[in-house]
Amino acid sequence: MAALRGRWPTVVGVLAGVGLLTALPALVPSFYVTLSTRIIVIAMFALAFNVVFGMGGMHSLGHAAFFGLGGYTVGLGVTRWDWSFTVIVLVALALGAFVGLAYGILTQRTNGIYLLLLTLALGQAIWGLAFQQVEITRGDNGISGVTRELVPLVGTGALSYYHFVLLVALASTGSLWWFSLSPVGRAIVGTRESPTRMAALGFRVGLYRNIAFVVSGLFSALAGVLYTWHHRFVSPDALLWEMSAFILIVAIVGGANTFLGPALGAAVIISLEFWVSLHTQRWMTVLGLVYVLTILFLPEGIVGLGGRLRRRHASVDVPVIPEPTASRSGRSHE
Amino acid sequence: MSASSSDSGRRRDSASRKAPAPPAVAVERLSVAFGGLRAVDDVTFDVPAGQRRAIIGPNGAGKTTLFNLIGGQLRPITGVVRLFGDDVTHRRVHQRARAGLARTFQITNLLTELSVWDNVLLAVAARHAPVRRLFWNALSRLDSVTGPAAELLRTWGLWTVRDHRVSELAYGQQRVLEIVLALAAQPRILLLDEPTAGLSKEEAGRMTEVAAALPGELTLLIIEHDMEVAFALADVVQVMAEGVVLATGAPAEIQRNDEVIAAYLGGARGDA
Ligand SMILES: Nc1ncnc2c1ncn2[C@@H]1O[C@H](COP(=O)(O)OP(=O)(O)OP(=O)(O)O)[C@@H](O)[C@H]1O
Ligand SMILES: [Mg+2]
Repeated sequence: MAALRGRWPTVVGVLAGVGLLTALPALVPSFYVTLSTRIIVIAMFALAFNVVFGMGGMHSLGHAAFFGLGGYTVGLGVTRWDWSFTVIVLVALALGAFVGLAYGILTQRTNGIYLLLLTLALGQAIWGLAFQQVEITRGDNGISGVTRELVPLVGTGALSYYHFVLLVALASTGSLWWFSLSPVGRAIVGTRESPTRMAALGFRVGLYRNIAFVVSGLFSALAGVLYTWHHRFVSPDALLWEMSAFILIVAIVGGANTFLGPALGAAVIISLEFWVSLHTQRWMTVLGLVYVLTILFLPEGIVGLGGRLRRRHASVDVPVIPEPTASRSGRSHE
Repeated sequence: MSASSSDSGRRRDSASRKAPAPPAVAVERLSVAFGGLRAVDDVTFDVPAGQRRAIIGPNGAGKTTLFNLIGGQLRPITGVVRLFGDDVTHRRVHQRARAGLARTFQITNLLTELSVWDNVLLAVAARHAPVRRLFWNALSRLDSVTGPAAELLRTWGLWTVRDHRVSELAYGQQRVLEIVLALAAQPRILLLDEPTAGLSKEEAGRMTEVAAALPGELTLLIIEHDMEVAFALADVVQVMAEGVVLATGAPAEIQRNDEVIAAYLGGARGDA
């Protein structure tokens, strides 16, 4: 009921947000357009990451691999292999999906800290590949000079690339939103809540975990594609575990339990990064602090703030439900 | 059953008489151990299709473990589990569910942070293979799913709380939802693990009515500590203790069985 009544303000909000984002380059100095492009790319990565993390409840510390693979596909496709735009994007998507499937299969039945360590190891293995194959990837130096000539832009410069990124990100966000509402998307959430219940209902839990990783890997790779073209540069840093940790923090700070929370986290953290970097070199320290403060005071992330207020307000018309009664036979039930 | 008088019809009849319908559940020499403890120890029994069987026994008798073996949550060290004649011993949980088996859990096992509505939608979706694999179209917009889900919630008195998170429900409502999820898949076999545990007398009474109202063709196995409930519901009562089946029989028989009274009923009366 509340969901139905709450729908049309959401629609208005989304339309207003999209309108504002589209008009942004006309409203702010061009420097902020570059900053916003970065925010949108990271927001898209965070939303993709959250399919595994928030929806699936699987703690991955290896998502930089998808992002970086997308990034390197652009870097190498443009500078080395002369691929067309279409080929670059398709290869990036395929790599993201394929490595996602590999993650899913290799982490079957692992959870919690074991899953975290296993995805970390997988991610670092792929980072090592880029780092060591100096012949192809130029190792630590990274690949520079990744021009945007191939990108089908209207016009030139940061402004037109901003609109390209916005378009791709909005289309991806819409797709992920539909996906999250679909039976498969809901089943992924179900396996987060109780794998044993889902299995007893007839869902093949492992399949849904794999699908989560594939979808997440696919869109993470696409975000990586946007990222490299944004910076016109890609280095092993895009694959490094620190990138995985960063996106994890972005999702948690924003609010991993909601669909758009991670995108909000990206906006807040990238803005903060920009502002803090003006004053000090200690961005990583500040980021760590933000993370700790979030964990301590906002367990549901920044969106939790709004949610908490709304729930306090709503609790007025929730009917009173009787307390659970004690066991008749006097046995303790956990 | 068949009114056909043709030869082929008669032949089929006689064939089916020679090979009677397989039991809904059959376990054969089933054992499982935790460390040194044989929680289920060489257990054999059949449950004919449509039967309602209560499984009773003291704490730690191995009742839940037996359900876990039938449901696939546990694998036996020896023995065979058959559902409608098919050997499912090596099948996974979801495969057994798709073969028509549904269960509730002794410790409430629901999709806690989802709404009641979402819980039931997923449970209904589970029985449609094409729906399970759909990744466009919102689950909540599929008439083939929302129709049966709404009907279930109305039938079981949970319609008004459908937008609540499961974690906000009263314990009794959660226990009912356990049964609703199990029934949503339209199972042929239903395993209920202590559906009345932790409920008030009134709630337990309602739950008993609920269980009694289940379709007649459904094969029901119910673990129950409350003797009144067990004897009222069941066609057959099976008594377990220390991993073995002590006795199986009609409720009236079991109530008179000395061994059962000594092993279980006396004790249970004592602490009730
Ligand atoms: N996963 C497990 N690991 C170790 N021991 C277990 C496990 N599950 C059950 N047991 C043990 O097996 C025995 C049988 O347990 P089970 O849960 O089947 O009993 P029950 O008949 O369902 O009892 P209750 O009436 O208390 O639910 C008990 O001694 C229990 O401690
Ligand atoms: Mg038990």
